Amino acid sequence: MLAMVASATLVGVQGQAISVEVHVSTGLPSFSIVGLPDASCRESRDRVRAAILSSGLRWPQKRITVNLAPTGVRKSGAGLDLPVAVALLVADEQLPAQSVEDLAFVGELGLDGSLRAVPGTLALVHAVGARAIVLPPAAAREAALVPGLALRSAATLGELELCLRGRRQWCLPPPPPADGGPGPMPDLAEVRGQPLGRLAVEVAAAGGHHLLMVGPPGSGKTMLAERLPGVMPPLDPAAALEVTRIHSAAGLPLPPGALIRCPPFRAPHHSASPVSLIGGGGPQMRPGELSCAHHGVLFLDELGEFPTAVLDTLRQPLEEGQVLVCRARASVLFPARVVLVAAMNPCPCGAERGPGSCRCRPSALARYAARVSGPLLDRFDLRILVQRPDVSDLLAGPGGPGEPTAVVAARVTRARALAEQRGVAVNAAIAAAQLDAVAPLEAAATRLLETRLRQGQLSGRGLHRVRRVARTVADLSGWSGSVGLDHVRTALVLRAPLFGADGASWESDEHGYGL
Amino acid sequence: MSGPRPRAIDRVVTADDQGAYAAALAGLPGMGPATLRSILSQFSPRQAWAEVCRGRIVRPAAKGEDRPARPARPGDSLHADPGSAGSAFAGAGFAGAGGGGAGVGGAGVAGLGGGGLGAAQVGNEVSGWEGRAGGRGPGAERSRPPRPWVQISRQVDPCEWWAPHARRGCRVTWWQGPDFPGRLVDDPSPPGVLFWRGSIEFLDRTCVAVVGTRNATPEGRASAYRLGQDLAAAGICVVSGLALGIDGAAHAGALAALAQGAPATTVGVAASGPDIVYPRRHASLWADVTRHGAVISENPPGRPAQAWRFPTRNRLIAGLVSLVVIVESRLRGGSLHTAEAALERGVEVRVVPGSVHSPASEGTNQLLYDGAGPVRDARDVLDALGMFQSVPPSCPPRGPGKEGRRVSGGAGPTASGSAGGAVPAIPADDLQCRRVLEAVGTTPVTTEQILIRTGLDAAAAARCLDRLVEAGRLDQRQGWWMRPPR
Repeated sequence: MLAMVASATLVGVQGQAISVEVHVSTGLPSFSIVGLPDASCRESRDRVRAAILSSGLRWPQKRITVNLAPTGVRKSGAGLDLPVAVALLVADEQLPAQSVEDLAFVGELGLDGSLRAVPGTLALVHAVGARAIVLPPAAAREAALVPGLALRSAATLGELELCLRGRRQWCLPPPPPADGGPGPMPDLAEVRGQPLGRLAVEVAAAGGHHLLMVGPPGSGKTMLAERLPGVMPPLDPAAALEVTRIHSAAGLPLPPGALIRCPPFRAPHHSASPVSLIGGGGPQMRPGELSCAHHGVLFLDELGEFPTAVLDTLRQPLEEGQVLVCRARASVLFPARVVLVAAMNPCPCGAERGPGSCRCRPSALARYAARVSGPLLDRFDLRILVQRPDVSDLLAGPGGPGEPTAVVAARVTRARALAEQRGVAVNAAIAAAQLDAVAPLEAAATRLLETRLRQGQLSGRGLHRVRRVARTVADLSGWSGSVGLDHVRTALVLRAPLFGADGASWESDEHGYGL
Repeated sequence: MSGPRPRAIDRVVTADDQGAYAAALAGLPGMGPATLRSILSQFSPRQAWAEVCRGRIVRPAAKGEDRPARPARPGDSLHADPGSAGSAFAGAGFAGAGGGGAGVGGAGVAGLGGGGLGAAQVGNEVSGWEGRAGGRGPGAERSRPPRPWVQISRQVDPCEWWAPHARRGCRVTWWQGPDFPGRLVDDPSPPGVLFWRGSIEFLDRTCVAVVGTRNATPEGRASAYRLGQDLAAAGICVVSGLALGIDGAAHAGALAALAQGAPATTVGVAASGPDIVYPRRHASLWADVTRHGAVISENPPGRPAQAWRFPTRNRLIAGLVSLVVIVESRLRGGSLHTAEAALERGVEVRVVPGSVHSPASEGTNQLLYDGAGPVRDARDVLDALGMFQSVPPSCPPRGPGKEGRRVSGGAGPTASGSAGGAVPAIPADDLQCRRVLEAVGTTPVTTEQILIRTGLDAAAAARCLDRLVEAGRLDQRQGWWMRPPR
């Protein structure tokens, strides 16, 4: 006999509806799964058999064929265990066919018959085309984020069988947890004596600008970066759902309420592979760190230690806000709108106190600077030098803690509201053609930028980036009129010519001797 | 000309041929300056080559580059026996030997048909040649014992080998040969053979070396540039090592003086062959130094730069000049070799003082402490040389008029930001700008340090920084703010 049950599988961060068909017929006892299952999917035979037997149900000594339709899509993961088991029970007439009508099933089976949650529940629930869905209890809270879908859950396969026969009540989905808001985050008030670093973090948060911090070890680069998500406004409901879906698909732990409300902060180690950053790998196409940091911060510490090939894969996604990962079998579009924050040392020895002041050989310096390609360097709207504050400067400077995160975040929220009034999400995303309309320049500011362009201290692309940052600086000061001279000057100060960026290096002297 | 006493065999040999023989001798693997000198003190180059061909002068047994060769004795020919020195063709090559440099060296031998090829071509020829020699890979080169000189010399015709180099502008002389720089004749360790491209007669003028670290600060480069420019304008030949940093800036300065119509020259002393540009980034500088001065070296054409040759090169710089100025040097810098060699030769060493906080000036400040005289600018150098009359007008005058020292014309390589157009002055009542300028001080600082020291907000500081850059009072290099060097 034949049975069909609805389910879903995960491709990238999207779910794909799957129809699980099981055919049980007379013949030599066998069990085969067709329809492009991957290894984890094919292993479900053993799990399903053990689960059915441990639940006190009967394993039919017949010829069993499982088909996963559509057959052209590669299926992966153990989430199809439950639908296979249920369809098998229906096909073997241990369950009435009407009991599974209009129900979808997603879940992994344990050998004892228990139901376990699988990664990507949110995306899977989105994808199934059924009135109600049956899930492991552990996934119920996450699935509850999708409105308009009836949830059923049961702890074990045996329990599920009873529920389907109507002999037992479904487990109640857990009540939605009290919204405690984002958990404790590191506060900006703990950063002392770094006015420029604080400003850069504020501008990056307000305008979504990428930030490069260059400074010796222990100068507080990581400390500043970790405080950036707290300054950024909390995610709006749509973004929160999207981020949660990505994190769920990547198998990352979710907060107690399942919904991720504060901007994510991802800091991959510099041994990361291109696939781990961008996404892909295997039939499942796991989202990379770049997508996990969607709507949040991707922090690359020790930028110079990342392989150049890995860094250069980031260039196009940073521009587009998404990345299309193509493999022979599938192309998956991953969202990737991040604020990239990178930190690196000024030179291999890390002790630079100004040009020519460290003990590194010139060739070593040149090699180190060349690790970050020009195009990538160009994508950092904000480039600052960070120094360990001198003791004397700290003592002489204004004492006490700096502004706390809450104060800065309020300014950032105000600035973002101004940007949204103009119809752009964040200023970093203003299209070049839109700049004149959205960020018109005062005459003096235009003159200053023209001078910098003429002197070769600014590239064409750099010009647009400075204008966007200047817009953000103006927004932060509450000014939504034309961008003024002071805003442009501040933007220029926040874009230091590091590592020969913008053609302002020592190496390009006018004599052409390459001194 | 104080050449060697003419002997019978020399009568049919021209001076050019002698040069070719001298060059060929210098190109033998394992031939060091001391060995060469010792040979040339006994024989003319032609005769010495003949002795090598006869196997009466052989390569010093160990790796001792500086061991003098024994004069030939009857039993010596045994040492030249190929059997005793390893397999027949398994030698490091000719001219490029002395440590892994067989690439170019082989050219001399393989180049019997085509000496004077580009380095890449040469490499190909060599590999072909070594393939024939027994199919050893390049990795085997180091362990391979060098071929005996006698074998090389029998395959090489020095005149034929040298001719293409000569055609490409390479010149050669030897100790006691014609054109050998007078100062080097009495040097405690003169080069046996000297190669050059360009015009070596500039070395007859008063020569001053301006040397220093490769990883120089902008101030150091500016000092070297101004020294080079002003000394060259005063008619002094600026000698340096063509390296990155201070050396390059000194050469560039001297060339800039030339562009302003001064009779200036500059001589670069290379650690590689005079036709092998090292470092590559200085290719155009080498070309200009060759055109307007000379690049000299005691290494034959085609020999690459090797680490151990740099101290040797430094002693050559010290031997060529009347005064050594060290602009910046680290505590273990190569410039200190130059200083040591200069002191051995009784050549005065002066240094440009630097900040006690700057690692780039640790070595020079140590020399200052040890008693070397300070040099602020070219005027001090000319005073030290007793050339009070020839101070060029571009050299700033000494005296109380501090503002007068800011010379506008012929600014150094750092003052590009303020060049051209009217320079807006900073109004005296702009207190914020003054505060920013005070915060910068004399060492480079970051924007953040300026913000901390002045207490200004970013917009105000940005305004001041912008104005100060416009006025030429500040410079930004690699994100660091500093006062432009005078």
